[in-house]
Amino acid sequence: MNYLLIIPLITAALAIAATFSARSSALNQYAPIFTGAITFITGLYLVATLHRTNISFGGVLRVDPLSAWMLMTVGAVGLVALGSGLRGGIDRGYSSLLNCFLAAMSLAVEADNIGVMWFAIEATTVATAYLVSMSGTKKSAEAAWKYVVIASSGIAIALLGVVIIFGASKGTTISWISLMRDHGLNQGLLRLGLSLSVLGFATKVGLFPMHSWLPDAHSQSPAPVSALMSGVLLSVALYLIVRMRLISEISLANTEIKGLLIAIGVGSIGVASLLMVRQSDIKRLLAYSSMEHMGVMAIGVAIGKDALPAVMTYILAHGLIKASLFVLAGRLVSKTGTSDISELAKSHNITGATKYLMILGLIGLLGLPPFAIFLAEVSISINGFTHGMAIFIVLSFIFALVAFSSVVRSTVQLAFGNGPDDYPSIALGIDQSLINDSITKSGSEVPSYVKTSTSKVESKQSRPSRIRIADLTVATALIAALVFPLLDASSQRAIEATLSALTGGAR
Amino acid sequence: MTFFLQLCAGTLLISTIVIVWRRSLKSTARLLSIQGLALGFGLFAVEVTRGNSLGVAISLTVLALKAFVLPLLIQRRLKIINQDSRPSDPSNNELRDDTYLNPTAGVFISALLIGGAFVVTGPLFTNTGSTSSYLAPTGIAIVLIGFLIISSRRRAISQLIGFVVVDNGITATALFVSGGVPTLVELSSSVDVLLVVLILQAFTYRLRDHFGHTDISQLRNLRD
Repeated sequence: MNYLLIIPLITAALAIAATFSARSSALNQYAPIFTGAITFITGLYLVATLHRTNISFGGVLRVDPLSAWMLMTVGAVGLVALGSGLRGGIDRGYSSLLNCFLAAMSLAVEADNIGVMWFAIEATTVATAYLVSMSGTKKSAEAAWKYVVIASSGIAIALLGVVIIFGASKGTTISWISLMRDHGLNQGLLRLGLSLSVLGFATKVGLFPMHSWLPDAHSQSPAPVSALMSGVLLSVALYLIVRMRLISEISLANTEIKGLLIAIGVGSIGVASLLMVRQSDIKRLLAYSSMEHMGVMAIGVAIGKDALPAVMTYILAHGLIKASLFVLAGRLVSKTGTSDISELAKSHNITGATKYLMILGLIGLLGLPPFAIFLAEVSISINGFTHGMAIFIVLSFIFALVAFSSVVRSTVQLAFGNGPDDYPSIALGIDQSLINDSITKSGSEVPSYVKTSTSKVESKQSRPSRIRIADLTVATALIAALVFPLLDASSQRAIEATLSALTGGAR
Repeated sequence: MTFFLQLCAGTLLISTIVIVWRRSLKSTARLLSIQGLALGFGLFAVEVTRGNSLGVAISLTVLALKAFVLPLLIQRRLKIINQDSRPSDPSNNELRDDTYLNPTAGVFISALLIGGAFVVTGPLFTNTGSTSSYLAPTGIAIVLIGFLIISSRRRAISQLIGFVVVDNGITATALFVSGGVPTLVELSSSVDVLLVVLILQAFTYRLRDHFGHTDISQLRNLRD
């Protein structure tokens, strides 16, 4: 049973080995998708069987329902982001870095040792550094530099925190489970260590005030990488903050960590929503929206274990919706050669499945009723009110309303367009992305209808099936984010089982 | 043993202040080497007294990484920069870095940071089960000075050096507070730092190719 944990890691390693030995372009494309699928299946199985805390491999790896839930999320979002966003013709390096990225995130959620969690999060920085600068443009070099410097500095602060937590246990343990059960911790050092590590991991979540790498890295990376970063990387880092928060709840550090998380949560929602108002770049808009949602989640984590089921549901639903949107946005950007929302709307390229899936995804992102985000946000708000945090919830609502209006504005713009109708809005097929790839890569912003109209006939016949599978994947992801009662019940069970395993395990 | 760790803390602190003071990047690389030696021998001594053979092996690896591999990587990078740069233009001398702080101000702020670290975190490091934990604020001070270096210098390579200083400070904190974190963590964090340094080095080439310089303060393409 415990050896299930190593399956995602082994799969990723084997996938990398296979891509390097086989030299097949198709394998390069499908290897990371396969890893995502295996991670998803392993996570789903662990969530379904819901067994209690199990430690394997000498205390390095651990599974409890909380990590099973996160493992499932990593797999699900990975499957959506790569299955619908990854195109053929990628090289081995790209493919293996994606595999490393998935493996590092699996390790982060499976690790019991806080030091290993830290290592895994730092490993995601290492794996994604080159992915961000993949396009080779000036802007992507700048984005990658900022990303590595800011993320590594933040993660260094977290390492200092981990080292001090180790000191708080008098140099005996760094295992999360032992720390939860140990009541002889040095409280002064624990407070310092937990605060530093929460602050450090918050950098990787993209929370205010260390958020500046987030929009740059998200807007410059290739679509599947943005989808993975926004969909799971941020929430895996948030998951580490959840673990720190659970330690703080049983120690004297409770008030500090709560206050810290509320401050950076409300700060993130505020800054992100204000920056969204005049945002014209669709990928940056989505990135800031991630920051805003992470802020809401941080407030949920601050409330404590009562709101954690909602946060877990939120993580999964947001991951699925945001990954779908980044993939769809990437498709539009590569087809049109611009990421400016009004130019996209004018280009009349938003047609067919892409259009309707995009609108559906944006509605989900807004947190409107049928989607799980709505349920999670309501649940976090109710818990906030009952835990005496009404003022912060109201403040976040005001900021979230600003963000809401910005997303509505761009949704309307994309859905109905506001461009001149003096040229016919031909329903150009989705397949023109292949032709326009070269235009995007060279960086020129030639309106796509000029270039593509000549070759639309032959391109329309090429590879329609792949696109349909991609659309189907996105549609499945959005439907999954709709099925909220099921999600909420299982995340509730996950949290309860994790906590009961901790308190019951000591007996 | 205690004296040895005190010597180690003193060496680390003085070399960090000299890094803040000096603007020549070549001597900075040498100072990083000294820091690595001090840290590596400190870890080595602690593990030898504990009689932990795996720990001794790990401490020697950390010593090799911090004292030789990282400084050598930075020195090699500097050599390449020196060959590429135009010697006719003294303002473009890439072996010296411009800081926003003059040396006196830098040393003064470092002194404030050291004092602050001891005043604020000193009282916390009691009852930790380690005889050398009163030295731990030194490590925190070095981390803070490392961040000062990252934020006050303009060249890309200096940010990299600041990053290495921050990591040395963290290792020092771990060494003093509890005789080093568990071996697995120690090793993985050192390897991570090596990888980050390699990546940042590769990116400095890329920045140079794209922008023609490595002045971080002029990276302003992505703004909101």
